[in-house]
Amino acid sequence: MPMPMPMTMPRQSSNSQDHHHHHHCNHYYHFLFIFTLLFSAVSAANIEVLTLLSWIHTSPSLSSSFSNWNSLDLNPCNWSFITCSSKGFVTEINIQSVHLAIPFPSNISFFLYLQKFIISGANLTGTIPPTLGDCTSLLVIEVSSNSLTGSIPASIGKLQNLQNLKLNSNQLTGKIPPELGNCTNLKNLFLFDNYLTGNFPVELGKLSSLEVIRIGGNKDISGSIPDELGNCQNLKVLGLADTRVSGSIPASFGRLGKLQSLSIYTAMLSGEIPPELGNCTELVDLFLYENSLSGSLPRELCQLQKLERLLVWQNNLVGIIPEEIGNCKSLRIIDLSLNSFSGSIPRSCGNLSQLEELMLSSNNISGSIPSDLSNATNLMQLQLDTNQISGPIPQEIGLLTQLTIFFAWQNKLEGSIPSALSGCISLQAVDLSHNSLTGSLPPGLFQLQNLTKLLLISNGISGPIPPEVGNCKSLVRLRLANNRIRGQIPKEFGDLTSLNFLDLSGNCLTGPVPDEIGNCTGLQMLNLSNNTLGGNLPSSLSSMSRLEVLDMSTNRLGGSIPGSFGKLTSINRLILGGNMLSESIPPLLGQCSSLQLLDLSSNSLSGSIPYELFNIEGLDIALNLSLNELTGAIPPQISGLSKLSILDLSHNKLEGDLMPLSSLENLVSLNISFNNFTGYLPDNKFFRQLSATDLEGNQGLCSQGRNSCFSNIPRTPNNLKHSRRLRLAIALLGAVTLAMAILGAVAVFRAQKIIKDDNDSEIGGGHSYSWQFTPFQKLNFSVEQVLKCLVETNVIGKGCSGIVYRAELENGEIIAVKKLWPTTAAECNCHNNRVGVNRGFRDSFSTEVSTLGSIRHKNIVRFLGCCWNQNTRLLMYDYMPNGSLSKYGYMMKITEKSDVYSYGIVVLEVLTGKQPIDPTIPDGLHIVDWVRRKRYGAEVLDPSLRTRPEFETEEMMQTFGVALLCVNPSPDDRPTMKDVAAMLKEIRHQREESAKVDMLLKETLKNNEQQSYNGGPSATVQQIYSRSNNSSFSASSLLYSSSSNPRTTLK
Amino acid sequence: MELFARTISASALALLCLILVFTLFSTVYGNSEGDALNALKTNLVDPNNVLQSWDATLVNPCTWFHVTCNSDNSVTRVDLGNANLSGQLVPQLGQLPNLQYLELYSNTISGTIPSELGDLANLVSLDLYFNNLSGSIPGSLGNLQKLRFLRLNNNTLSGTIPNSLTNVYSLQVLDLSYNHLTGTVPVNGSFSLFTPISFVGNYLASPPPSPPPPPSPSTPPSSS
Repeated sequence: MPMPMPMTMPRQSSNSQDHHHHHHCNHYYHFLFIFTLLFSAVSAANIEVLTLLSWIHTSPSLSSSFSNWNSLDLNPCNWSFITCSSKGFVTEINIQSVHLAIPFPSNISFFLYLQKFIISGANLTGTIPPTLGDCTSLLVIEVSSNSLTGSIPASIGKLQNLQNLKLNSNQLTGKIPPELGNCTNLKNLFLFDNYLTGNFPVELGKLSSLEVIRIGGNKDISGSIPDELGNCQNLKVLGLADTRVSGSIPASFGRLGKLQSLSIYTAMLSGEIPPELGNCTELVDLFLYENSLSGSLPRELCQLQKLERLLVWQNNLVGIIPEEIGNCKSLRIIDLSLNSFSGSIPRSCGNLSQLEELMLSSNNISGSIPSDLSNATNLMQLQLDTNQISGPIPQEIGLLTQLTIFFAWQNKLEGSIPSALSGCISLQAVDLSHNSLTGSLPPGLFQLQNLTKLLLISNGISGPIPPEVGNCKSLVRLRLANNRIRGQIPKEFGDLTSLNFLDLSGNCLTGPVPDEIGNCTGLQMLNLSNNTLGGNLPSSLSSMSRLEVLDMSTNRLGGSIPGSFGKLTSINRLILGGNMLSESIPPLLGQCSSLQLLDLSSNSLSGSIPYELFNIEGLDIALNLSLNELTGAIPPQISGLSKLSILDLSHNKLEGDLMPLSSLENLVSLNISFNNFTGYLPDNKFFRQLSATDLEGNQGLCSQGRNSCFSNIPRTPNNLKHSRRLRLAIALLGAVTLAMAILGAVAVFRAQKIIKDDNDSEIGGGHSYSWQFTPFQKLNFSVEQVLKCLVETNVIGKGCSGIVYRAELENGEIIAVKKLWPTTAAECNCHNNRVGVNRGFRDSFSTEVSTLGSIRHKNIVRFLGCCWNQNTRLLMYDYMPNGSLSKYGYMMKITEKSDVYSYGIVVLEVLTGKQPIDPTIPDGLHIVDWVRRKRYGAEVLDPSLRTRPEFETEEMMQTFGVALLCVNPSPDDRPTMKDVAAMLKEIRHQREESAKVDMLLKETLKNNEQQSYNGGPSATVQQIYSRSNNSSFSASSLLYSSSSNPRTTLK
Repeated sequence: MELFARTISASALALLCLILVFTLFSTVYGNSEGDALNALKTNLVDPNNVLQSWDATLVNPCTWFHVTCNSDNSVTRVDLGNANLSGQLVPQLGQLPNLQYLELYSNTISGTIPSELGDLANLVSLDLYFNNLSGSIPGSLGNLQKLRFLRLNNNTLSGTIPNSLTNVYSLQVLDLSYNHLTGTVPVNGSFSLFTPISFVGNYLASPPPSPPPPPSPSTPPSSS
């Protein structure tokens, strides 16, 4: 196996004498110098050997097809890809579809006799060297489908013999060099699919030999097409598609008597199609689509006997389609879609015996479909949609046995669907929607064995669906919506196992929904809405596991909703509204985990709303249960629907308060009108913006003087329990972390002052209510002083639950005061159970206050105290200068889970001995991010705690785990305080267990002193361990599940 | 009389033109929305065939699953959360003039957020959270005057939080947490509502210093 010679290009300046024949290229001398040193016998052929080897050598993975490229050969004439002249000079390099991944050979000009240079599909990189222009023998340059960059060297213009220049499908940039106009023998110019820019060079018009010009796919080639191109008498192909060439098509093109293909689509051509093109008698392909051509289709084009494809869609063409088009006998494809052609479909189209596609969509074509069209027996596609075509569909269309696609939707077609259509045995897709077709469905239509799509939406089709529908097993999409179809749904639908989309909505169908529909296991969409279907909802529907949309709304369906619908795991939209469904909503519907929209409105559903529905996390579009007879309260689990946009519970008999709705933060529309709801409204922006009509008809709901009906901190009834849990957890933490005094109970000093307020109408609301004041710190100011500061000019922020003021007190101290939105129980005269609700509200306010008061930590602004009267509640905090408003905002959004977060922060502070934002934490990280970054290693512990006995540090690390769960970024993923308490308890429990184990172990060891325990603990001990480990759930099992438990190591 | 007839014919012509323009417009409109969504489909990798029903040959995309239209057959929602999609978003998404909800959360979509989303004048909710989006948050999102929910959290978005977002006064929920955002958090305009929770897990400058901490207790000697 010959090794390619390792070779580096010398960089030193050459002072060697030129004792060889002269050459244009300077590189030559460099190379030759080295060469002379290495070899005694100098021959030109060996230069070629050396050049080729040094070039190919750089390839990272050389194909085995180069194995005969031997450095010891005198010439490369027997090498693969190489052809030589009789004198032993390389005349042809031809490497195609071989992966090289090397730069363009830089010393190409060494090959003085090179005629064909072809390296295509080889991932050639780099630029084309200008020295290529020195290879004056070149006839063919073909380096297409590579990764060449840079511009096309102007020096190529020196190649007088060049016939083929193929640089297509690279990444070439720059302009097309006008010098190419000097390559007088050029026949084929392929520059397409590059990044070339600039104009089409006029100079190319000088090249009378040119046969093919392909410059398309250079998206930045612009300017007009030069008239001079009409001089290229031999031109057969002109490709300029997908460029930005503009202006009109030169009339001079009429002189191109050999032109076969004119391909200038997806460009910016304007003006009219020159009638002179009718002189291009050799024209086969005329591709001018996606331009801005105007005017009409010139009659002269109809002289083109060889024209096969006429594609001029998406232009601004007007006028009629010339009747003479029937003269273009070779036409196979006519696409005139998306223009403004008028007049009727030329009858002469029937003469086009080769015609395969007639596409006239989206024009203004009128008249009727000519029956003569049936003579074009090769017709495969007939697309006439979105026109003004009227009259009946001719019976003769049935003669088109090759027809696969027949689209005529959005026209004015009348009469019935011809039964003869069943003669079009190749039909795959028929869309005749949005016409005025009448009569009944011809049963023969369903004998078509290739028919996959049948769309007849919005016509006047009457009569029944023939049972033959079951024969059309190929059907994938059947839409007969909005017609006047009568009778029952044939049970034969069950045979259509390929059916994917069945829409029979908006008809007059009666009778039951056949059980057999459940056999259509491929169904993804079933819409039977707006009929008069009766009977029950067949539970067989639940076997359609792929069903995504089920719409049975506005029928006369009775009975209950089958619980088995819970098996519809793919269902996305379940719409059963406007029926006579009764009984309760099956809780199993909660298993439809893909549901995004559930509409059960306007039925007779009773019972309470099953909370299981609220397990459907993705239910984000709408939940409509309105106009039923539902009772009971809204289950608090509704807070699980955090993504829900629209909720309609109106016109039921629901009761209880609306607090469970307060956490539906994505709500955009809510209607709870006409129920028996009671109590206050959750105080948030959404409820404040809700219109009265969405709330009306609830006698027990605070609605008069709406402003006073907002309960500030919506709490569920277990709120009290929650705060008890919080305290319990704090106590537990204290025990575990060994007297961390920071969390010691804060003595709440309740100094209740009674202050007259008669000067501030804003605060007093016109009444004089006495003030209660609860400071949580030692405070040197009075309520009166605070009240004076609550003026508009001191407002520093407004939030969901109140306004924040900056209050400068007489002693110079500055505090922030949050005034919660007013909630005056006294004004709520409408309320029957005033005292109870009032107490509930007071409780939640107090809870918030006591929670905040007992957590005095840096991550939360220091809470100084609160004061309230019947109108107003004020919370007072340390003033944080500019930019800290968000922290007050934080205060405004205390929820159960943010309490958990705060608790987690407190624990982290205790264990690390650091503040949430601490100068000793590097990079200004927040404590949470820092601890996470430390991967929970023991170094996060406060140094003073690290010296504690091992079992204690371990417990601390476990407590760490609990804390990290609490500060999970997603509130949903945080544990509840109940969980936290349980976990902390477990940590202590473990210690007690382990103490027992230790004791037992000591005993065992004492009793078995002679026993070596190298083999591990005794069976007894193992048993004890396994028992204690199995029974324990702890944070460590989450965090240290893979690490060994230190306690299992015998000491 | 002649004048009357001329007026009649002129107004009839005007009406005709109007109808014509409207028809043309509505046709193009329907197709362009389907084209825009189809462009999205072709740029996404869809191993679960969630987009199987997205048939570009249909008149409009209103029968495609996970797409919702209004009564004028214009797209109002695209719901593709948790759909195991990867690939990139496309600028054509800006061509859905009535889009209210763009829900593409919890996928593995990469690339940048196209600035053209700022053209969606009716957008209420933009949920792109839990993806692999990178690049900056386009300032054009500040044009979305109906936007209520903007959740871009848990991506790898970088750059600063565009100040233009503070002009979106309709904004109710903002979550930019867990990205690679730098700079400062705007505090004015609509941002006065939002808490640090909306911004955690970024490289944003620390909030202004809280009051000086009490002198830190000297480390007690280790217990013996």
